[in-house]
Parts: sequence; structure tokens; C-alpha cells
Amino acid sequence: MKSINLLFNNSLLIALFCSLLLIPKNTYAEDITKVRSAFIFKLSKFITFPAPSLSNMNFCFFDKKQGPGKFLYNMEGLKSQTPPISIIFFDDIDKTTELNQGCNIIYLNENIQSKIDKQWINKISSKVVVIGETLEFLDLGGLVALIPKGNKVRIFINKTKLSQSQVKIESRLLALVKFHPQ
Amino acid sequence: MPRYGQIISIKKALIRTVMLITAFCLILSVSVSTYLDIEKQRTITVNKLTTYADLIAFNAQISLLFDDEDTEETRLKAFRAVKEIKNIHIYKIDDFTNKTSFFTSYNAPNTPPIPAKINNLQAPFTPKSVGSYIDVIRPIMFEEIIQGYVYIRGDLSALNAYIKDKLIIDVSVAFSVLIVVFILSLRIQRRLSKPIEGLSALVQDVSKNKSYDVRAPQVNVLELNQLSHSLNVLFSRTQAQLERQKKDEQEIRLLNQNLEEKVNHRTIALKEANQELLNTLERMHQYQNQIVENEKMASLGQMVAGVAHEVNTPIGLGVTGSTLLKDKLSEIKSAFDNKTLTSKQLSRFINDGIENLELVYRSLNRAAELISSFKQVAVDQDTESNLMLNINDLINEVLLSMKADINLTQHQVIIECPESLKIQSKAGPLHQILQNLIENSLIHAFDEKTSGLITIKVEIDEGQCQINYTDNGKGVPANIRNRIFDPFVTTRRGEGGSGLGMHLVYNLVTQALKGRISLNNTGSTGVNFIITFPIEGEI
Repeated sequence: MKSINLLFNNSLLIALFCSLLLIPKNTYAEDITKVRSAFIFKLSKFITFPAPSLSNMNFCFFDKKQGPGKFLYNMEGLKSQTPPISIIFFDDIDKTTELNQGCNIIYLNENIQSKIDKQWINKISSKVVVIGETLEFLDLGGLVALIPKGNKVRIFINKTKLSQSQVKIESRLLALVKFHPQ
Repeated sequence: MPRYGQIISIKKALIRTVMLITAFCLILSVSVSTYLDIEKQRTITVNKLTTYADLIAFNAQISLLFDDEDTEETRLKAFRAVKEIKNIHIYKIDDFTNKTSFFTSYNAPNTPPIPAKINNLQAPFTPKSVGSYIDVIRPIMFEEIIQGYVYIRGDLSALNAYIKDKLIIDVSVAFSVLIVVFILSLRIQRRLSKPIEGLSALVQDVSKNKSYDVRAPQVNVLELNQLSHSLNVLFSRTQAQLERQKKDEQEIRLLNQNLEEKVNHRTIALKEANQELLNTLERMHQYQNQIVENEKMASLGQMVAGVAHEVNTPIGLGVTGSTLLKDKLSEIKSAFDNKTLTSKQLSRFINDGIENLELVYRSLNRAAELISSFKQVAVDQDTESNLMLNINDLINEVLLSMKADINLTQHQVIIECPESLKIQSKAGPLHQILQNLIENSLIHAFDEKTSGLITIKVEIDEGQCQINYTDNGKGVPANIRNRIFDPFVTTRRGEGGSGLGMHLVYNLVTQALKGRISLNNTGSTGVNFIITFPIEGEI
């Protein structure tokens, strides 16, 4: 059973990357979205959440129509991961209590980022990983940012926030990321 | 090595053996230890490189997943400190096409880059030696899926240098050990051979000069010391023995002188006794010849008596017939002179005369036949030539000549011989042989029997005539059976027996007939003589 799950899990990874490769170059924005989707998914594999953790791995988004939220939502196979992945959409950023209780990872695109401030971020639990799309998001107190560099996406992490967070990121991943501020 | 039987000195044998065994052991141990050590070092190097490859593969998982070759390249530079690693390649498997492509690499300082090994990235991932390098390939796994490969080219020059140093050291050590062993074996050989040579020289000196009073010195080798002691004991005993021998020789010399004198005396006495014995033997031979002659004469006399007896009857009948005829003739002459002769008287005279003349004729003819047959027997046996003779008739003539003796008893003689059988042989010896055998049976065999049985059986086989003479008397006593044919052997010495009868038979068979005679052992149930002699022809 475990091997079937693993196979399915990896087939999902393969499908994600395949979809990235199939994207034409003129759809750069879509490419970046898909790369970000894949990075969010793969990041979850190198992050350990504090106990008691949720029975599902919940990815929370605010934009159902575009961005990684939409892309991952359309990936039905994500739900059968171990632990199963759930894509949850919120339409109100003020529901911080629900966000803290129901999310493992919260993804904020640039539009949503413009609506939040330091206070909002401080309301988010240190057990939740908040991912943004810009360095300014990190300056506000966000933990992770997926920022395009050329035709690739690089991972930036707020070191101060990481030290305050209850989640653990594997050192192998940390060796790969860039910290902001330096 | 010397072959078996080839002479070799202890020195050479000892040194050769020690050196050969040491060299063999050294070569074996150095070879095995060097081989094992090289294999161990090679395994360590390979394991080390494999461990590095696995470590790189583990760290490269995340670089491949997040497509970050820069970080991976930076990380690979950390392997600059590892001298064994010359080149590292990381290959990535494309998620969509599943094709393998180059991801990043590392080349050690002063090491040229090497071509991509995409075509070699196949299981099994066994390390392969290529010249002075070794290639190690390991898969990069994430969640049991191969994400890519790590290729490491390891440098074996350090290992090869180690092997070279190891071989030089081992060979040097082995050579040094051989030199030490050679020096030691030389010392041992000297320590052993010197006392042996001393003992050998001592023995040679003793052997040459017979100087058994010398003694072997003590040496510092236990076994040779024992040998030295044994030699001393041998010398002292030999010396004592020689002294005793010298003394004994003197005594023997004296005894010999006495003995020679005695021998001379005895020789003279022996010569005299021998001469006396020779004279006695000569006289014995004379007596023997005389007795043999007497026996022959006695045998001849008996034969003559038999002949006389046989001839006497027909002669007597002839005399009677002629006397009767003479009387009848006187009567008829008287009647004729007196003119009283009647025809009837004349007729009766004629008839009687014819009968008497026939009687006289038959008697004289019979006498003539007997004399003729006896004449055959009476010829000289030594010079007698072979004649064609009827063997059955000959036996009958012998019986006829002995009829008087046989008729005195109730003994029976059976002849088993073809009546018409004629052989080319000598009649005289045969006659005398049979006569002696029958006479012996009559005299010796049947003294306690009233009616004995004598069987004479004649057979011819392959140019040989065999006479099987058997009687059912008391047989030959065991004490004289083996010497029955010797002269003067008799059971009736002093009772008229000369003991020459069977000796005469033996001589006649072997000399006159050129045959052989044997006495079969029949125990006490009679005798059985087998006489076999050659015949020149038969009918």
C-alpha cells in the first residue's frame, strides 16, 4: 500500500514537472505559477510541523481564480498524498483564527500581500508557514518567499521569523535557500 | 635437489633444505599477505568512494528537486580536500522525457574535465577500474524514485603507490630474512659438520692405522656427543677384542702345531687302515664275483637238472621202446631161425615194431625239441644277439624247465600273454630273469601256503615290453624293500640263500636287456615286479 502511495505521490510530482515543461515560453507568468505550485508542494515534504498537527496537510489560498491555488486545486491526486493534501480557499484575510486552526501553509500572492500588514502576520500562528511572492513580504514578517530569478524560482526565508517559528525546515533545504534580510 | 641415491654432503643438504623451505614459506606468506593487503586497500578505497558517492547523492536530492545546480556545484567544491576524487558528475533524469542530462560537475585542481558518462549510467552500479582510476556510479533516489546519478572518478595512484611500496618492503624483508637464514644455516651447518668431520677423520685414522687406543673428543652437539661416546665404546671393545684375539691366535697357533702332529700321526694310521680296507674290499669283490659265479653255476645246475629231468622221460621212453623192439626182434629172429615163424607172429611183430618205433621216434623228437629250446637258453648272455622269439613259448619253456619244482607244490602259474606274440629280444636273460623270479616266489613267498598263485602278464606298448610279475605270497619285508636289488640281501641267510638272485635279475634287466625293474609296494599281499625293456620289433 505504501509503495502504491509513493508511486502515486511521485507520479504527481512528475505530472507537475511535465506540465511545467509543456508550458510555452510566452506564457511566462503561467510557468512561474506552476513552478511556485510545485515548490509549495515540495517544500511541504521538507517541513516538519509541530504536534499536534492536522490529520491533513492543508494548503490555504485566497485566490481561487488564478495562481498556485487554482493550479493545485485542479490536481486531484494531491488529496491522496500521505498525509492527504487539502486545498482550502479563504475569501477573507481577517479570518485569522480559522486560518491558524485549519492551515499548515498559507500562500499569499502579490495582490493579497498588498492587503496585509505586520499586525496581520503577527496574528498568524508560528505553527503555520506563510509563503509570499516578494522580498517585501519577508520584510513584513513573512517566513518564505518564492521569487523568480531569470527563468527559475528561488526560495527566500526570513531567518528571524524562522527562529521564532515552531516549524522545522530540513537543513538540506536551508542549504539551498537564501535568507532575507542577509 | 639431489635425486635419490645421489651422494650429497650434509652441508649442502642442510643449507639447501633450509633455504628452500624458508624461501618457499616467505614467498607464500609474502604473496598471500601482499595480495590480501592490496585487496583490502582496494576495497577500502572503493568503499570510501562509494560512501562519498552516496553522500553526494543524498545531498543532491534537494538540488535536483529544486533545480539548483549552483548550490550543488558549490557544495561539490567541498570535495577538494578529498585527494582520491578527481571528477564528480551529477546527472538529472528529465521528468517528462525520462532522459538523462548533465546537471553539474566538479573537477579536482589540475584535473582535466572528462566527457559525460550518460551512456554508462546503468545498473548494476559496480565500481569499475579504468587504468589508474576507478569509476563509481550511484543513483540519486528520492522517495524510492531515481532522480539522477552521481558519477565519481576516483584516483588509484595512491593505491598503486601503496602497492609498489608494499611490494618493495615485502621483497626487501623477504630478502633480508633469506640472508639472515642463510647466515644462521651456515653457522648451524658449521656447528654440526665440524664435529662430524672430526669424527670422520678419527674413524679414518683408526681404520688406516688400526690404532684403537685413540678416543673421540666430546662435542657440544648432544647426538654427536652420543655418537662420539659410542665410537669410544666401540674402539675400547675392539681394542679388547683384538687383544683377546691376539691371545687366542697364539693359543690356536700352539693348538694347531699339536693338532698337526696329531693329524700326521692319524693320517699315517688312516692310510694304513685305508690300505687294509682297500685290500679287504678287493677280497670282498673277489668273493662277490665268486659268489655270483657260484650263483650262476647253481642256477645253471638247476637248469641242467630240469633239462635232464625233462629229457629223461622221452629218452627213457625211447630206451624202453627200442629195448622192447630189440626183444621182439630177438624173438622173431629166433622163430625165423627155427623156421617156426608164423604169418600171424610176423604180423604182430610188424604192428608192435611200428608202435615201438613211433614211440621211440616221438620220444626222441620230444627230446630233440627240449634240447633245442634249452640250447637257446644256454647260449652266452653277454654276447647273445637279439632273436625273434615267441614270448609265450619262452615262458612255457621256463615253466617246463622248472616243472619238477613246481609239481612238488600245488602252486598255480597263470600266463597272460598273447600266444602268437613275438618280440625281438634276448632269450637267455629273459629265461634266467623269469626263472629267478619264479624260484624266489617258490622259495620265499609261499612257505606258509599250500597253494599260491603266480601271474605273469606281458604287454607291448610303444616299443616297450612290460612284464608284470605278481604273486600272492607274503611279500617283501619292509626293512629290505628299498634294497631288494642290492647284492647279498636275503631273508634266509644261513639257510641256503645267497642274496644274489634279485641282484642278478637287476643286472640282467638293466645290462643285458637295457631295461628297468621296479618293485611296487603291495604291503604284505605278495610282490609285484614291473620289468620294462625295449624291443626292436614285434609281430
